[in-house]
Amino acid sequence: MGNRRSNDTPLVDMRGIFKFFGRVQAIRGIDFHVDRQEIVGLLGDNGAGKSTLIKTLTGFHTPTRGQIYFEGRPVNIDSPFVARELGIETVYQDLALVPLMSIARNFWLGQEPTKRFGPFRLLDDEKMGEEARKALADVGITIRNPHEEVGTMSGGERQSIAIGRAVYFGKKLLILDEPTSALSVGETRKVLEYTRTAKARGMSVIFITHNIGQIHQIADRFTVISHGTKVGDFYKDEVDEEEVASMVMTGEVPERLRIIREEEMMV
Amino acid sequence: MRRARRIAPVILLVVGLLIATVGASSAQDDTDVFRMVSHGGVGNPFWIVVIKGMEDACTILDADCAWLADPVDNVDDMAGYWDDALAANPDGIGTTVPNPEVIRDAVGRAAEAGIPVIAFNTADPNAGTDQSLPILFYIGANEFLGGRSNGTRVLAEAAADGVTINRGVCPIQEVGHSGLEARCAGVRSVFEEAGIPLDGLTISNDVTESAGVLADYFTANADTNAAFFLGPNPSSAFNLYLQEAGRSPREVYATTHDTSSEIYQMIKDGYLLQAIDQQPYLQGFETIMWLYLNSRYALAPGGDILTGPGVIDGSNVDAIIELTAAGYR
Amino acid sequence: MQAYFENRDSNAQSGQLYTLMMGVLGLAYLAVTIMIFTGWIALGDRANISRRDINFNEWAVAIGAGLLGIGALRTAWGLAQREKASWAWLQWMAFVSLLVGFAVAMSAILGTTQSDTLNLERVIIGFAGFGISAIVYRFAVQGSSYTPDQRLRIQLAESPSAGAIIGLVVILMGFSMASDLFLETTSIASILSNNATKGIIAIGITTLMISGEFDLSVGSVLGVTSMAYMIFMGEGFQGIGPLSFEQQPTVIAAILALICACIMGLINGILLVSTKIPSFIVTLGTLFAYRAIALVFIGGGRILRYRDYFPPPAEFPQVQISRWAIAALAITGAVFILVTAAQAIPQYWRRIKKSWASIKDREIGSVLALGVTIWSIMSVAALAIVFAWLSLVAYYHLDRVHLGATLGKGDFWLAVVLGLAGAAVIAGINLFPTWRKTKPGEAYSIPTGVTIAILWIVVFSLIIKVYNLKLSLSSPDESLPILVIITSLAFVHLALATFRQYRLARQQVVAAGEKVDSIPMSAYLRERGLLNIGISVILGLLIAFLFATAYDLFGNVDSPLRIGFFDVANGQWRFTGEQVTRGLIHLNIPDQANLRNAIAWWVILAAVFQVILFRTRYGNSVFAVGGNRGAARAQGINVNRVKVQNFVLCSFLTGLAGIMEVARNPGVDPLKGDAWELDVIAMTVIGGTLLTGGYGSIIGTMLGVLIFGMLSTGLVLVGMDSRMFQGVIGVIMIIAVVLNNTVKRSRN
Repeated sequence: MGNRRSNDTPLVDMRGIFKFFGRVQAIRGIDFHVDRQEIVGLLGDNGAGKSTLIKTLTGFHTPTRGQIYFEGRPVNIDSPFVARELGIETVYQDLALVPLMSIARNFWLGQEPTKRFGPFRLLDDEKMGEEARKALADVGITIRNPHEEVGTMSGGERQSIAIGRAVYFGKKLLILDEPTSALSVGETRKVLEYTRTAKARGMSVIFITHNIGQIHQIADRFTVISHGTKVGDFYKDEVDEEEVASMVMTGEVPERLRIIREEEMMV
Repeated sequence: MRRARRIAPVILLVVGLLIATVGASSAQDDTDVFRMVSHGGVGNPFWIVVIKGMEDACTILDADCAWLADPVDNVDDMAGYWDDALAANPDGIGTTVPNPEVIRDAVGRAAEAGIPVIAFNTADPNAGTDQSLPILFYIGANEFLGGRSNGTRVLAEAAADGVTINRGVCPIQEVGHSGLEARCAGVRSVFEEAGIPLDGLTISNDVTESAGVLADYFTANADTNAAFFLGPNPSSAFNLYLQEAGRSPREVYATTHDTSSEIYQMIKDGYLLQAIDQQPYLQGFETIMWLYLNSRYALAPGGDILTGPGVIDGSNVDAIIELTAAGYR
Repeated sequence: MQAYFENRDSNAQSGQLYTLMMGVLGLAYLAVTIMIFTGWIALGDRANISRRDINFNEWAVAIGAGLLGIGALRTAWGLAQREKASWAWLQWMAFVSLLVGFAVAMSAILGTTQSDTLNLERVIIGFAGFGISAIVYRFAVQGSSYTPDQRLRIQLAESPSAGAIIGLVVILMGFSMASDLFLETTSIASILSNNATKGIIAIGITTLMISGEFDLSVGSVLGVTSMAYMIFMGEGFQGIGPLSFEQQPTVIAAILALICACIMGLINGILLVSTKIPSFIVTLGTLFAYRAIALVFIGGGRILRYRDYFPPPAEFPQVQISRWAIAALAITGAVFILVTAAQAIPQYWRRIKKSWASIKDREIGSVLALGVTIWSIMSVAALAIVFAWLSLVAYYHLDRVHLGATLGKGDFWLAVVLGLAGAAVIAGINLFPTWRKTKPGEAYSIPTGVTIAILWIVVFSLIIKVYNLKLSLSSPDESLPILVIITSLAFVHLALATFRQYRLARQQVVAAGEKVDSIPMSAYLRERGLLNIGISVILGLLIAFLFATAYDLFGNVDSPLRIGFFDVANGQWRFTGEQVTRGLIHLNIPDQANLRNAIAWWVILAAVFQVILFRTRYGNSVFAVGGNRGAARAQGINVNRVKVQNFVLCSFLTGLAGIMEVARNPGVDPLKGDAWELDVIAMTVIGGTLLTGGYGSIIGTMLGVLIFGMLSTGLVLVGMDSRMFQGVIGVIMIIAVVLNNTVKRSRN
């Protein structure tokens, strides 16, 4: 566990994860954990293995070796449905919402409220619109008209709605995959704000990015990955931005940190 | 695993060679090999009778015969089927010629190889000109004469009833098919002599769809009182239209080509005056017989052999129904 | 104008002018209605119809003018009251009058080609109306954020089928000008009957296309299903072991054939999701494979004819239904109604008591409350009576409208009472959409509505009895005055109830701090008003029909009801000549008009699938899967299952179409349905459904089917070479798609 500061069972604990694609060894024995109500920045250069690691957590890949524990229980996440059942919500950059559908319909997708009509169950459009508007307002997102098509909205607004949806449905872990890469500065700030809201409401967040500057302010901890192995876990107060950036680039832990680590081990 | 991968192509090769040898050896022995290429096949009941004629002839001669055609009527695919026919190195080939250009090249190759070719069912429209294909002769109906027979019958019956034919229609279900166009041309020649206009109309082989087109046509041209159909499905469409519009026999003087149980019924009910039968069984049977005679003994008739027009009307329809049940009509 | 509503006197003049104009307009419209009923204005073909009757054209115009007149008077009243909402009303009235004036003038000018003299009066009246309305409209829309025509344009742009709507109007106008025959009943019947079955397949294709897939094999599935149905009926099936069976009764044969269709759809779907090959390739493959089944394995390429299996003395297949079963159904319905009504009486009684108490206390407005209650009672009852009357007309004519079953006439009054009761329930249900309790903002609960209706039936019967008014089937002409009153009352009530709901909904929205414009009136009307009216009419007819039938059945309990299966599936609607010249509404349906039952099935299935697609979870997942596969998957939707289900649905609908085709022409050849897939896909694409998925509508596809049908019939009618048809359809399809895209882009 190294330098964990919390003594609770972690929300997610991935131990000794290996993932091979044929002869390509994408991940070689990574330990990765997320505590409750923690924002973890998962950092690494392109091709470092961030996505592969996260996809083993969300059920798109099954690990070649290694075990995942969720809330202390060993789990076998072999499909996205299992991950969803566990309470893991992933917001992908392009895959979050259906552009040709309305905000309300997107918000409720897969768990739409219905009303009875004789023996049939029909969608309750009014309730869908009203509740979606309220729920998003609770998270701090104001929308003009819940029946507006998502396709007409900006990238930031879309990300916000996806995050709001995850928060509303009481998920335990929110995974944001490069959420800000296509956003303007203002929009990015908003997304970061909603991420904080999510944490305040008791969720944990994994924030995947290769842009350290954006998340340094909100993350509690950074996990840096390079060439399929973990470089290290660092709490925000241990490192500054430049050190993290250099770790992402080189995959080497700077001298100063190495010394601190060794001292901790001695204690 | 890796061993199996290496062995697999070898096995495939051996199997392929075996098949090729078996094929070659069957071709080398004494039986005659005949191929018949057509623009239509098992999808159309008409051809089933032709195929039966072919099969019966081949059973008698103990020959190796095959019917090469698209199940759905398709003229353009004939070039490919001709290639298949030539690949079998046959003793003779029968072919329909709905469009000479599609098969011109292949027929040329057959002529070079000395394979006799007979046209059946649909004649070479250029026969007798310098554009004609190298084909021995034609076994089948004369479509133009069939059309003329229909046209004449309609005018005669109308005259007997004291009715004037104002206008006729000749709905065609496969546009560009030379045989069908010849049938219409036959009718047209009769109508032109009598000075009566004849409309063309494109329908399809789909019965309900065509019934709709006919209904629209008769709405737009209420004075039309003669109709000339060119096959079983168009006749069925006409029958459906008559029922739906509630029209009675002899309001429209109509005839058709070819046969089906529904056509017999329509003749009995008086909705059709007559059907021109090209006796398709003969087309299959005689083509094989003449290919055999020509390839073995270089025999040939003095000209084309006409299997039609044979007329089916109220006088002989009952006898025909029995023969149809047996598969000969 | 703003000042006028704020009651500042400076601008009162213009307000009063508008009030006056609306008043005059309203009276003018009402005058037209009255003049039609008195015979001063004659419309349409009057040759075969006696002067006292009103034909269909006149009905349409009279009702339209009546509604407009009431609307205009209401606007005038609102303006006089300085009611702010009447501002929008004014705009709408002016806009509609502008269109009406133009239409009147144009119809007079275009009509001249048929009759010799130009109807100068009508041209002048039309253009005068057009001009004045245009001026009013011009000034009335000043300063408003959305004008009616802008709103229409926005509505059009939001519709997936904008291109199809425009295309439909253009083609309709073009052909009806080019050929006098185009709008004849025979031609319309031909357009509908010949494309209804394709329309049913197109519903399936639309659903499938919205989910991002595609089915080329429908033509072959149609072929196999119709062949299988026929052979199961005629000779049974020779399979292996338990798969063989003897010839089957028609319903079983149909079910077996449908199962075959579903299996073919299942194969399509499973192939798609397991191999991940694009659906274009998969279904291209199965197109050939299924056609081979039809060609070779079923019947060996013969034409299968019902008459060959069962020669003429035998009847077409009949289905027997015990009369007890239908009677039981009717009794269940009656019990249900009585129980509901009994539950509601106390509630209703409280309402009256409350109104009465407040009247005694001299509360201002309480008289009005009682008045409104009584008014609603009357209106609901009026609606109920209209339904009952319509159903009884249908019932009376049953022995002349051959729809398989031939029923005798029953006792008049008992049928009236039963029919009224059934229809009243339906009217009640649909006017008042809550089932148990009234929510704030809704008029009354259904039980209240039912009680109201039943009470009013009694009252109305008494009135009829006392004044000896005639509501008689044997002389429909004499019942005209009553029916006119009833109809207008009913529609006014429906309109008022709908607007009341709309106002309440708007108030809620305003309370929630939204801009009022976010709920367009037209959208609201479309959702509530039209739906209410539509459902009421359809269900009312059905239930009243059931009651009337039930009564008849008690007289003939012993013999089972025999219904021709082919008649139900796709029978021809036969009208005898006698009926055409009598009755209230003269639908001049000639004998050769080929109206078939598949049209009814098409409309019903389209309605069902419209609801499924837009109002159910399943429909929502279909859109999501087509719109963004990944997002749907991430939200826990089983993408593969949705796709397979859609393929099965599509094949099932195709199977239904196949059985209907057999019912129309009981003789199938193995090439049945060849190349239909292309027609059907063209219809769907014309209707605005995106080939890439995620967007589309059933309504659009229905328009596409109509466009397709109008083209195929229209080209033959104008005498154009029908070989042109394919080319024209191709061009139209491309234009429609381009139009759809242009409209969509202009929206964003």
